[in-house]
Amino acid sequence: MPCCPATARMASWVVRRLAGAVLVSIIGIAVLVALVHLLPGDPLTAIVGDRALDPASRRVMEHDLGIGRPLPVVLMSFFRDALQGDLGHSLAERRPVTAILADRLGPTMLLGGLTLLIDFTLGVLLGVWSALHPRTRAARLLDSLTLATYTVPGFVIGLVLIWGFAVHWQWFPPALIADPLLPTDASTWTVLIDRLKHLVLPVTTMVLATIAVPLRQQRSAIVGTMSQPWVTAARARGVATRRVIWQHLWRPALTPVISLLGLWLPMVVAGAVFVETVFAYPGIGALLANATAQRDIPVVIGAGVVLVVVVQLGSLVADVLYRIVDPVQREPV
Amino acid sequence: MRTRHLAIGLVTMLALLAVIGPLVTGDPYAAGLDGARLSAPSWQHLLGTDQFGRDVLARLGHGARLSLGIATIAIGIAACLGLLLGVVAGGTHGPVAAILSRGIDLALALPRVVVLLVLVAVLGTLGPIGLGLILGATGWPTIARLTRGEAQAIRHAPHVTAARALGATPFRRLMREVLPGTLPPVMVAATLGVADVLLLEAGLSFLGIGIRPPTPTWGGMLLEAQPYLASAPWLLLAPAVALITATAAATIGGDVLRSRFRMAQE
Repeated sequence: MPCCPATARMASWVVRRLAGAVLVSIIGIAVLVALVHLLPGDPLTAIVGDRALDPASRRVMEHDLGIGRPLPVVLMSFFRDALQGDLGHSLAERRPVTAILADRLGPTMLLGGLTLLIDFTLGVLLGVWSALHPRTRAARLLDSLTLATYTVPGFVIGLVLIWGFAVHWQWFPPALIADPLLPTDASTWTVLIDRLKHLVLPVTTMVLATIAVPLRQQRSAIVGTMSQPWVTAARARGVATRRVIWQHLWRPALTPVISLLGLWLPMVVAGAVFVETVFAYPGIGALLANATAQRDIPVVIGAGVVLVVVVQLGSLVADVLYRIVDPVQREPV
Repeated sequence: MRTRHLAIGLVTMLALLAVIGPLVTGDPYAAGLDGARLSAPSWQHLLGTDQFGRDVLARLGHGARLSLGIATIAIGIAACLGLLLGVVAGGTHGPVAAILSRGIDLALALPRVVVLLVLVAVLGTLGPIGLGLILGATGWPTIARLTRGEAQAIRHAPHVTAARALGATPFRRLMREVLPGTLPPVMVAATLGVADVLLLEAGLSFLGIGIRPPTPTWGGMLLEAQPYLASAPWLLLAPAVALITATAAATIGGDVLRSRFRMAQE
C-alpha cells in the first residue's frame, strides 16, 4: 500500500498546520482584547454619557470592557467566556454579542461565498483566455478594465453602481438584503427573486473590486507555463489543443492561484467592511463599521474575532488545497 | 518612459491641488449665501456646490492637503517601524531576531482593517495626526516582512563578510552594510503603500469614523454625496476622481521606482 505513508504524512501535516492556525488566532484575538485594555479612552463614559445607569448594568458593562482588572485576568476571563459561547453584551442594543453575530454571519457568508465563486471561476477563465490571446484588442481592454476596477476603492465602485443602476435606471434596489415591504405571505418564488435582486449590486461591487487578483495571477501563471518543455512535448506528440490547454497548461498553472486564496481573503474582509456599509447590507463588515462608530466595543471585538478566525481558516484551507493539488509539495524533499 | 511622465504629471497635479488650490479657491466652509445650493459646475463654481452651497473645488483642495498629509505621516511611521524591526529580525540572529520575526508574522495575520477599527472604537474621535499615527501603526508589518527578507539575503553578501573581516562591530555591519541594501525595495513598497493608506483614510472618513464633518476630506465628501446621487452626481465624481488619481499616482510611482532600481542593479 504505497498510499498510506503519504496519507499519514499529509494528515500529520494538516494537524500541525491546524494547531498553528488556532494558536495564531488565539494570540491575534488576545492582541485585540489587549488593545482595548491598554489604550487610553473611556468607552463606557463615551456610550453612557451622563445618563444614570443602574449598578447591575454598570457591573455587566465594566465586566465586558474589563475595566478595573489587570490584563491577564481580563484575557483569561475573555477566553473562558468565549469558549462557552459568550462574547459579552452589546453596549448599544441590549443583546448578547453572539446573537448579533449569528444574525450577521449568514448574509456575509452569502456575499463572500458568491464573490469567491465568481472570482475563482470567471477570474480564472478570463485569466486563461487572456493568456492565450495576448495582444488582442479584447485582452488589452480586459487588462485596462481590471486594473481600473482594482485601483478604484470598493465603496466608490458601489456608489457609482448605485448611482447608475439603482437611482438612475432603478433596475436594482440600492440597499438592504430584502424588501421590508414584501408581504409576509409572499410565495417562495417572489422572496427568492427579491433576494437575488438585492444581491446583484453588492456582489458585482465585490467582484469588480477583487477579480483582478486571481485573473492576473492565473494569466501570468499560464504565460509562465507555456514555455515549459512538457507543453512543447505535448504539442509535438500531436495532443489536441484543447487537451494541451486544460491538462498540460492549466493544471500546473492552477497552484499559484490556489495559494493566492490566503491573500485574497483579507482583501475581501477589508472590502466587505466598506461595501456592506455602502449597501446597508446586514453583514459582519457593516456590523463592525457601525459598532465602531457607536464605540460598541464588545461588538467590535466580537466581529473582529469572527474576521480573524475566518482569515486564518481561509489561509489554512488554501495551504491544504495547495498541497493536494501540487504533487511536488506532497513528496518529501 | 511614458509611465514616468504620467506619474510625475499626476503627482504635480495633486501637489498643485493641495498647495495652491486652497489659496485660490476660497473658503471650503463658506456656505453659499446666494442660494446656490447643489448647483452644477459653472464658471463661478468650477466643480459645482454641495448641499450647503459650499464650493466643491475648495473642499477638494483642502481635502487633498489633509489626505496627502495624513498619508505622509502614516507611511513615514510605517516605513521607519517596518525598516527597523525588519532589519533586526532579518539581519541578526538570536532570540531577539526570532521573537521579532514571530511578531511580524503574527501582525501580518491580523487583518489591517479590523485592527484599525478596534483602535478607532477605543480611541474615539481622532484628528488628522491621530489618524496618521494609527494608519502608520497598522502599516508596518508588510514593510517589516519585506525588509526582513532583504536583510536575510544581504547578511551573507561578500561586502558584509568583508566588513566583518575588517573588524566592523555587529551594530555597524547592520546599520552601514545591511540596512542601506534594504532601502530600494522598501522605498518601492512605501510608495505603493501610500495608495493603501489613502484608500483606508478615505474609507474611514466615508464610514464617518475618520476625519469628521464639516472638515473637508475626500472620504467625507463621498459620504455627504450619497443622498444626492440623483440630483448632484458631481458631488460623487469630484472626490472619487481625486481619490483614484492619487492612488493611481502612488501605484504608478511605485512601479516606476521598481523598474529604475532594477535597471540600476543590472
